[in-house]
Amino acid sequence: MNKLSASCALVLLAFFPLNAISHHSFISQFDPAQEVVMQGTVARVRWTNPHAFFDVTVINEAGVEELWAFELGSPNTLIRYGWFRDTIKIGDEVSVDGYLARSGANLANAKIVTLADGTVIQAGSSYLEQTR
Amino acid sequence: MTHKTASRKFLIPLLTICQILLVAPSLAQITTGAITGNLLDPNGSVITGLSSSITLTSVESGVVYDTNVTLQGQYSFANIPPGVYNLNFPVSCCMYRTYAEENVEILAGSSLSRDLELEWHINLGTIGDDPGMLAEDMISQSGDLSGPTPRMPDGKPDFSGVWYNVPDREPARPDPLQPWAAEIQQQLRELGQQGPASYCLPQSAVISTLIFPYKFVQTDDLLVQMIEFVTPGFRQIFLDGRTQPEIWNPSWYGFSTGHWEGDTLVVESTGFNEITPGFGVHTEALKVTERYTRPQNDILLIEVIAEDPEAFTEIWTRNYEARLVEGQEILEFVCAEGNDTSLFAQPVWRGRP
Repeated sequence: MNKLSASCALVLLAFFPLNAISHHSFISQFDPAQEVVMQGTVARVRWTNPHAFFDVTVINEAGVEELWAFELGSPNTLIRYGWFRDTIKIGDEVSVDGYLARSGANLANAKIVTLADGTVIQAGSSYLEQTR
Repeated sequence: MTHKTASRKFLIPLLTICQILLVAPSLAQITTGAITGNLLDPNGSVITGLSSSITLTSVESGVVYDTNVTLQGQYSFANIPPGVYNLNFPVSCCMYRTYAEENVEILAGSSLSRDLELEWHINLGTIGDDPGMLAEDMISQSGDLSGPTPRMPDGKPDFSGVWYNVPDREPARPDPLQPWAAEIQQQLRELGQQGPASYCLPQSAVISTLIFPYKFVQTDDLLVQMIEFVTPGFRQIFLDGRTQPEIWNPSWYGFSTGHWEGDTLVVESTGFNEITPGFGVHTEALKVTERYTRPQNDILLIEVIAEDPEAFTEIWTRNYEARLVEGQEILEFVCAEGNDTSLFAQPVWRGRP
């Protein structure tokens, strides 16, 4: 049983103008107006190109378990920043911040991942800081 | 009394001179202003690792001041004449959008504190999905690799090595396309994710124009270009004197041969299919000439000239600069492994209608 009480908070952000560009663009799949923060237990890691995923079991507000997928960039890029396929591993308790998929699926991108030991991994700032 | 008067007589001018000497520097200081701040991402974190230049352009005179943002994410302009300025911080694709703010007023004698809140670019801050940042980081981590141009036993420059193109921070230039091609290009842009990349197909007819890492392996009669993040990941450039084949099935990367003009390797390619839109919508008439030079060990200069009388309105010329990196290899990239094309319901463009 997951001891971590799951929370699922939607934060509406300012609407960004959307530029559709044909290049693996996350903005065409995910909605920057729907930010989500979830906590739960890693159930699976898909270390695959072109994008890696990790699935997280969360308990929704009704107390029911849900499986959510979070999408990362390419493993090839993550490797170059010092990631391994078990940087996030099954059973880890994580908090993930990202934007919901436009499709309505249980899917979001991963822009901030907080591990159980408090380590924060995010693109561009502390994420790079850790790997320099 | 007289003595006192005489003292006062000298004292007053002396005090005046002293006052001028003391005040003059502060007068000079207050004739200029300053602006300083941090780069912030939409998460509210200070952005580190972007070492690019930030500019202040005077609205009145057009004079441009520039400074480098520190790797710790701070910038600072000092001794700026008071006035109204446009602030610009160009960023390469795809983590952050270029920051531009107009009419920033700098006052004499004051230091303006202004944090730049950057917006996400198309990757929405996704961890591990920023080819521009990756290229900049990998280049900077390699350190100083300058030195003389490496050469083959016959004296020709040797282009072997792993390279990253220096990310282009300028806005993309408009494509010089004929109306029918421009219309298709626009449709492709509107389709967004439905481009060839979504299907793990090649992203450009000319892979040296991409931002992804590539490796040259050079022999006397063959130059192999291995590129990551795109399919099929390799290209052959024949240096053995052969000519373009008379009969050739059009292909994504065409057929490439190279010859030397001094220290410049001139690569000519024809035989492209029409499908790859990454280098502008084109036809099978596309001909591309690439001119490669390696003026020193760590720098590769690439001039790309493309002509297609059936699709372009003019011959394109674009210039790229690549940097050598050390301690890295081209990694396997099997794009189909994790690509869920069911996410994308629209059909991809398959050539002219």
